[in-house]
Amino acid sequence: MANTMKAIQTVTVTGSAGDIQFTNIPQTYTDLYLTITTAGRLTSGTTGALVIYTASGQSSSLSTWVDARGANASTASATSAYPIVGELNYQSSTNNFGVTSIYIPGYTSSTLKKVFITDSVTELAASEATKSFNSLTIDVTSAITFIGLGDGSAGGGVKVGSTVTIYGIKNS
Amino acid sequence: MALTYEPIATATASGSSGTISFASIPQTYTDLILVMRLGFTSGSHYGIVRANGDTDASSSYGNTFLGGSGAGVSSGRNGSLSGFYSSYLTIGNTTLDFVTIMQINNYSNTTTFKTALTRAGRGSGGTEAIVSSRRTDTNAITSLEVKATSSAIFASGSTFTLYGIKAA
Repeated sequence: MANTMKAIQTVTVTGSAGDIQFTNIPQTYTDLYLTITTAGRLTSGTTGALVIYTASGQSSSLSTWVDARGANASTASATSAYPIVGELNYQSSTNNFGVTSIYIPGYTSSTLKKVFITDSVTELAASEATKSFNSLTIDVTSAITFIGLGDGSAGGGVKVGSTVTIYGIKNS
Repeated sequence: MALTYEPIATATASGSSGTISFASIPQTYTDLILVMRLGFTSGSHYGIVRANGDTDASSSYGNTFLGGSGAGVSSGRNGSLSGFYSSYLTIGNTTLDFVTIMQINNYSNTTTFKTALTRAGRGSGGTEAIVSSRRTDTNAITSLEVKATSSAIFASGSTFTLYGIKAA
């Protein structure tokens, strides 16, 4: 039986920083899995949110998100209309990074809303570590052919060195 | 990343049953991953995953969960359960926007009790992580059954896919 988890594409932010985008995502898999290593957000203001969108200029009003989060010694849960998949921090030092994974089942469906199950950890300049797990629904039923990732609150994108790999998983 | 991520079996609910079974699971992998996209025809429920023919009367499972509702974080411990819980977040619609990903580690070994790690949720219904254990015997897991709670029926189109993961 063949190995059905295959890397589709890896993008590393180089040169000028910004959002990370995947276009023309193949429709031949069942689920998608993304692994993301971020070097932080471009815009100052310490904490931010890594967001996902499935169309350029997609309205955040299509999204519902909920998380459970621990940051150092505190815990919290929040909801938002932003399509959040993880944490994204800023510090002027280089000691600022994060890792996020996203599972997207049934991304080729043309009838079902798209659901994202994500886990995220970040380190903020040796002063704070955050772990969150998130559930996100985007109320769009068309198949996902495009994915963008960026800094939702500031729109400034992610720093050079951030890397995303997108995998396809087949169920047969 | 694991070397292999192979589909073992997949099932789609027809809307007439509250049970999905995976029999004769190959013993050639290291871990199992069960991906479920669920809904129910009526009422609010969740799914329980049982191993090796366990029934409602089984009480050999326990779990600890951590969840977020948007309003707060909750954590708790439950014992004497009849299966690996896919979630405590009840769902009652047929829009199939509730997702559970359950990983059962080292399922084919015969020396340790079995542990499952689960992530579940949807944007409008909460998010949850559960660690479950099956404690009464060390037998390899050779079959799994996903059972809806309270005799509920899985909504038509609910999908259940079992993958095998091999270590190097």
